[in-house]
Amino acid sequence: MMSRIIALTGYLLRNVVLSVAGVLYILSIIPMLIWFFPFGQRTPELSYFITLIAIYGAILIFLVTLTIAGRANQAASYALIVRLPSRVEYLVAVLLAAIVFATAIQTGLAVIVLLQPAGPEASFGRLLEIPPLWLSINIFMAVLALHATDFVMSNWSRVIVFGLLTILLFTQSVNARTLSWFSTRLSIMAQFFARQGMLGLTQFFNNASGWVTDSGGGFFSQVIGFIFWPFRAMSDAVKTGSFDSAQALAPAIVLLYATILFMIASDLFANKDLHFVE
Amino acid sequence: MLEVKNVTKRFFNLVALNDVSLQIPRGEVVGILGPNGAGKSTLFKIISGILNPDGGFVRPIGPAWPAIAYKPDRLHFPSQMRVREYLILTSRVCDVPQRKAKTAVDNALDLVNLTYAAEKRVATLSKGMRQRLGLAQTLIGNAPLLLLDEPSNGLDPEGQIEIQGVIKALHAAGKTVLLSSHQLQEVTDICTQLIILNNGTIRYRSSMEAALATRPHVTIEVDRDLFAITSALQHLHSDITVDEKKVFLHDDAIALRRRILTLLLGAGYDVVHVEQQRTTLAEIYSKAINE
Repeated sequence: MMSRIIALTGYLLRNVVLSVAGVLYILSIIPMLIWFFPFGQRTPELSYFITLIAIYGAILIFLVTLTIAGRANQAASYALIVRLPSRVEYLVAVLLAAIVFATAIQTGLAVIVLLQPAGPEASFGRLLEIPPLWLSINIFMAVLALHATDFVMSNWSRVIVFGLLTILLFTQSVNARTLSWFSTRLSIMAQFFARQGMLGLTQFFNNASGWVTDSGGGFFSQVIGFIFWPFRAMSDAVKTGSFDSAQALAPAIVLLYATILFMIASDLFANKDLHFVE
Repeated sequence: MLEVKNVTKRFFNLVALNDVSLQIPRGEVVGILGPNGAGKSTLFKIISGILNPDGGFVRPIGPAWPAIAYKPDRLHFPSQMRVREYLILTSRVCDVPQRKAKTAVDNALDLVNLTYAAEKRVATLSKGMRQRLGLAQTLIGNAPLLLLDEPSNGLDPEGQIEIQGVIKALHAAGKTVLLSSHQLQEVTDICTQLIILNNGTIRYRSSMEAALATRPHVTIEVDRDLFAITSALQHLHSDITVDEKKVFLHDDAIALRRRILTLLLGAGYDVVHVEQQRTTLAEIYSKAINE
């Protein structure tokens, strides 16, 4: 199985590296160096270096995954896919190719910045903290990007995954004002049902309105805070310069999210009709 | 080797396959005929696992799924690769050991007569060369079941004969082949089983031998117009037609032939020519499609 995946990964990597998009991705290092790490100007802090290149890597791998999945989604792949014992091997190859290509560019940028005379100073111990952090984010973003592609999408899956993500991000930013607006809407609905004489629904919406006002904020912030905790923990650890024992688990939890998303992606891909682009 | 059972496939309102059931016996070359849009390519894609049936299933006859090699009707290859590189990639995907990959690729190229183009980029190949490459990739990895969707489409007559020779050799080597074609002579020459598909349903199925052996035609020609005894002839059997000096017998039963000849000779006609013709695939096809 591994030899097949490696062969397909190599094929997809070559496909993207030799394309215009691939060259543009490699060249994206140059504006990063010019704008964020100008030669001769001292990089202020290691945390700045880690955070900025992590964000660059996350955006890059999202785009690279879209590109590679787009190229994998072509009719030239039919004959190859039929030969595989499981279609998921092809999906793994797409993911691996995206991770290898994007992480190589990200690492290239990091090495160039570190080797600059005025680059950030980092002990060997601190440098060792970087790979799990960047890699876990990269893998998560690559798997998330897979769900955005026609390659994996099946029926309404893209809308569901990204809709859910939007709701989570929206709910995370819920504040007292939003809760008050939401509570008012629930009250209006309760009044509407009261006018219709539907006492059961009136009671329900009145209770919901009261709950949102009294404890909704706390509940939402706890639930959403729990889901987004690993990202906040990693960000905090980078800022403070060290990981405590709980924060050290954050990359593993991000990988767990990536695993769940990948399991959904592989299930969608394994059971969908393949209509590759001709 | 494989059984397709009650397979139905819809694309929105279009029913591409409707309750199709067939068996692909081990070691046979099964030819699928049908007009464009009959559902042939959809059937190939369902058997190869590219599409999932909306109803019914495909299952192996036996304990395990056979390895399948597939040549799609519309040929697409990674355009930036060279022919040999593409086949090496195929060999790696098929788990051919690295030390045997070169030999496997060389043999496949040799069989389809494409060795001279081994170092050419796929993008530069002609349609005929791409067909050969499509067939060559199915030969890599020694898959026991080959799905060949229009394997000789776009080839010149010489190329078609070569490809037919390759398929015959594969059949002789024990491979099972499912192929679709619009070329009736090709199907007649290389297939052992025949299926005719139209509007997503199977209209005809038979072994090729039985299909071509049944219902030979007989034409009896006499010295003058048969107008006077036309109704007498047609009373003998419903499969008899008369056209000026010729009697056509579509169902050749010896007893019936004797009765016709007796009638003709009794009426004073001289029989000038009797010819027996086998049913052609074109007739079978035409009848199946128009039914």
